[in-house]
Amino acid sequence: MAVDVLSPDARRSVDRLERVWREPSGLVGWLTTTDHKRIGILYFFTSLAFLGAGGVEALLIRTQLIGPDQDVVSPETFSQLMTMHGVTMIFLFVIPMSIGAFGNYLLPLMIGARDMAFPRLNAVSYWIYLAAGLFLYTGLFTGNGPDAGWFDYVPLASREFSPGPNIDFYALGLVFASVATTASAVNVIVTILRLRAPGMAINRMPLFCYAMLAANGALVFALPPLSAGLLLLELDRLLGMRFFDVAAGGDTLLWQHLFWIFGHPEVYIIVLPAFGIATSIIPTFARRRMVAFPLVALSELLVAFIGFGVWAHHMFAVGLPTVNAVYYAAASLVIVIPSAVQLFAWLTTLVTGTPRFATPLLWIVGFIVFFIVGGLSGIMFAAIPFDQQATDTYFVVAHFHFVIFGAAVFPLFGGMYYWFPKVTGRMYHEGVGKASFWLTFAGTAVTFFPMHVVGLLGMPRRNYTYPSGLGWGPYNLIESLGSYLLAAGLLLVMANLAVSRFRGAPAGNDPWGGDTLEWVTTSPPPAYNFAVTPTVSSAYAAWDTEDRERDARRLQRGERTLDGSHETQATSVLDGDPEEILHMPAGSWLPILVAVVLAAVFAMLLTQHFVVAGVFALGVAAVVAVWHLEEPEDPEPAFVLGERGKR
Amino acid sequence: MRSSTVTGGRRPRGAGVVAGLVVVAVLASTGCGGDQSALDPASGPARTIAGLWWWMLGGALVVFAGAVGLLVLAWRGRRADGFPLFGRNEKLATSLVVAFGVAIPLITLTVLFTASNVVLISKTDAPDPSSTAMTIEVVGHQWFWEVRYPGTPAVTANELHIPVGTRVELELRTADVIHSFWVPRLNRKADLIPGRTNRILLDADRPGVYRGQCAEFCGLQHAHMGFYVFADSPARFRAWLAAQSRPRSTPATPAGRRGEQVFLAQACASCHTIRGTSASGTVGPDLTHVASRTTLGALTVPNNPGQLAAWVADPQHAKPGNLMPVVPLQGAQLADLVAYLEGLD
Amino acid sequence: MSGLPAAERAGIRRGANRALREPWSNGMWGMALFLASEAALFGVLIASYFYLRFDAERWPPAGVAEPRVLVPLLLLALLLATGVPMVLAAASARSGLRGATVRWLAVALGDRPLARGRARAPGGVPRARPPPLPR
Repeated sequence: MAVDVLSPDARRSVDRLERVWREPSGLVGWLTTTDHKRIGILYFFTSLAFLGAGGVEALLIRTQLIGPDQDVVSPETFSQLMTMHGVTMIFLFVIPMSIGAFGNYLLPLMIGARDMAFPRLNAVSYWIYLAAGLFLYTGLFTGNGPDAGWFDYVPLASREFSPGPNIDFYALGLVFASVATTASAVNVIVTILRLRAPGMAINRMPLFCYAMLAANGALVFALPPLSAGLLLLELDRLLGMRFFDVAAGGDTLLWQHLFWIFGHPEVYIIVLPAFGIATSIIPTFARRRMVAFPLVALSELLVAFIGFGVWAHHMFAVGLPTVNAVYYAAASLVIVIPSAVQLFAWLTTLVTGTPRFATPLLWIVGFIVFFIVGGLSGIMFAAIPFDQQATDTYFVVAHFHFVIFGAAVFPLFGGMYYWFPKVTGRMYHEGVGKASFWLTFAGTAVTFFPMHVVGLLGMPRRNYTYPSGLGWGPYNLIESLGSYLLAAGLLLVMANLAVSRFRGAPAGNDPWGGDTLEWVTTSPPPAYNFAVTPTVSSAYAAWDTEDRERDARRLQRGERTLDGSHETQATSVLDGDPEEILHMPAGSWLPILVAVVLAAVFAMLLTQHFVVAGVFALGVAAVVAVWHLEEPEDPEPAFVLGERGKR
Repeated sequence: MRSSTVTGGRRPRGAGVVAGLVVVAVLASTGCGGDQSALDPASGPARTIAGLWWWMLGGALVVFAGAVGLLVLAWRGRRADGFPLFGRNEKLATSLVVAFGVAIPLITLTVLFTASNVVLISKTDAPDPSSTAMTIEVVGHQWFWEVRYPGTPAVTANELHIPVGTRVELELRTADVIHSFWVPRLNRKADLIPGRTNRILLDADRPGVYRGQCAEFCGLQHAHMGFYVFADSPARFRAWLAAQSRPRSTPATPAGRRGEQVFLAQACASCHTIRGTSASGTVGPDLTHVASRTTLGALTVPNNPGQLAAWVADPQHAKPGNLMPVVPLQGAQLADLVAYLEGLD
Repeated sequence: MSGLPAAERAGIRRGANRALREPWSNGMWGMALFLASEAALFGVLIASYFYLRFDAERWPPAGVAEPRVLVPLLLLALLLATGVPMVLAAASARSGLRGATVRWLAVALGDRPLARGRARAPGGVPRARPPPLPR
């Protein structure tokens, strides 16, 4: 889109947009940001740091298990490492990366909006996430890390068998984190429902948005059961209540039900954004529309929905009545169907298209291969007798690493490569990119595939060591060597992206021929994303040249630029008809302040200073009250420091 | 819009086929055997499950090969638009998605469901008490297994004996946290849940020693909570049970007699039971016939005088974090105590 | 409702219709989703209660007294009772009927003089009921 032939009106509009949307540079700008792109970048680097932490935990685990009867770490350290590995990867890496980083950065761009629906809430979510992650790691670094496994079964997690603060770090840390995740889920849903560009009816939004809608809709209903369980656990631990104490009328299995009612939808929440990334990359690289688009969109929503009905398939060994267990097995098989529909849609799109196997698509091919392996082993678990042999062994460890790492994380790396030119304005090195993919693919296969075998040979999970003579040694050795290979692959990915950030060739707006709106604007996008509010008439907006040319003409004339203040267009939920102009807030110190005071609340709860915690909770309420003094319509918000105040 | 400057990549064909072959090769070369292997069944239920596994693996390999085949097709047809042979055909594409995404899974999964969860499950479910010949009670502790034979005074730890070819029902309870009883060659796992009694069938086809392990994370030494199931001929079993039912063998040597005094005077008696003495603690395993067991510490170390002495001198060395405290003993006391315990066969 | 002047009744009805027909703002959606999440939280806690109760041998468990429900039930009745005037106040506000809005809010808060339409001016002289605003 040529911007050099602008009329004077257009020039003035663009200048005004630049001035209004610009945030301060330097640290102050980052600490007070409400720009979804900056928040996305904050999420990106923070979740990468947690990936590193979780990865180190994994490497220590694999080194301890490289041979029988090793002494690399003590049993207590191992318990903390394996627990924190799970907690970190699930709560502090994969969800924040896929929804916080990718979701935040890309959603407004893909729907033609200028920001998320609640920009300050967006910032709050990030700072609370950071604080909760630091809270959990304070536990680990003081030797009090959670140590009862990432699902923290009672009675092991009760005060009687875990007298130290380890489990309190776990429970309070996760409740703390869930505030951020719930807020972010509400933000994503409202953004998708109301901030789409005019003409983007609900059946014309990109599949990435369907995936985000499904995942975040599920989050709204999946987090409360976890919070409820953690609340009951902490009431038991801190106030001596007995919800899980059988002798007092409680029930051990209540914890498992509450945890898995959250835990199973959680794994679909983990994988759905990855499906969304795959469905962004495939049409672009196959150079054709997605086959059976409506079926794929519907399947994404169905997976999230049906996922709430299968949780007790994690409990087939506890002695449920057979008829109940059989129901859960049936529901677990039903959910295969929407997954299979998506899988074959992706495959058919690749077969009937003219695919270019560049690095981003290679990661998606790797994702497809691993998703099939993990999905097939998952189906096996729906056969109850087999589940009862394979659950709690390395077979299930293999299954979930194939679906979580292979299927949920590979698209994240593909997405990093795919959107790298958009975010940085530069191209990465393609040869190194391909090498990094093959190294990671090989590392993943070598690490996790043998786990299927050693699990069937009888090796249970979460064991800090194992004896020789059972045939497990050679497999564990291969797995540990594979993990080092995998780590090398990931380091190569990071190195490629880091170096290319500074030395990569300039990429234009659209090096790939992408189908979604983010490719229409500059690389990197300006703070206001689009000078002209785009109009949309199909799900592949960037491929609709007529619409894009019409937008370009509007830009030249300075029309539809919404340059009054921080403005963006809100449209109707179903049809995408323009409804109102929204006035967004500028940067603010309040989000980080909320996170700091809330962190104090949780720290006081942890140390059992309940009255002080109450005082800090009132403090949070006070900050939130002040929040409302900062009216978004006001071009000079009450609490902002820095250049923004000047017009 | 099509100004891409990047080149397409290599895509080695048949990587998926290779993976499939690796599965088979690995299993074939290393064998599926092992004392704790689910793929080396020694009972009806375990055989049922192993058979189910092989059928599912076969189906999985077919699906995997098909999907990888489609990826290979995508690679080979990357310059051509549409299907090979059929060209551009959106209706065909959508029908394929419906056929392979809905219809075929519906059929195959219904078959899998019916076979496993309607038919086969009756073989692995908890047994009807009227269909079993005897009952054994197992109580899980952090980190050992208490084993009782109702109807007799026999109490032991970490080793079960059962008569071969007999339907034995196990009643599973826990004294503390959740554990899971798992002896893969004989049956699937069953959790030990506070406040509940779960039941599982053990019915070994042939005599042998079958290894099992706790399969639900239960704390620091979850990794060292193994057990053995000995399937004996009925005569040997009866002899063993009779021996286990007797109170302890009176110490035959002076060292043994002194050792018993050490046991009763020190902290030992407050945690352990030795039937026939006043020691009646229930925190740790019953030691009445400890010398007849093959291991110490729930399969942590072999049971021989050297290991026994090392264990008593410092229980935290081989199994750090276990609940047995270090009881300071002088050299002579230790020697006498070990002599006494070695006589408890 | 029947004791009110016809103009006010019509205004309240109009306000209620507008609430139902107007598209929701971002704030409404955000609040609705937050309430859904809270409903899920309380729903799960209540379900946990029933799960424990129907699985237990004796209820309440040994050593736990029977819960006293009189005060909570009274408070619940009060909560529900204030719901009605609050809804009417919201509908009045949407219709621009300021007097009616203030009056219904006063009913909900239990401020009888204000509800009766006698606002207290400085000096304690009661004022007559304010005239309805032109529409």
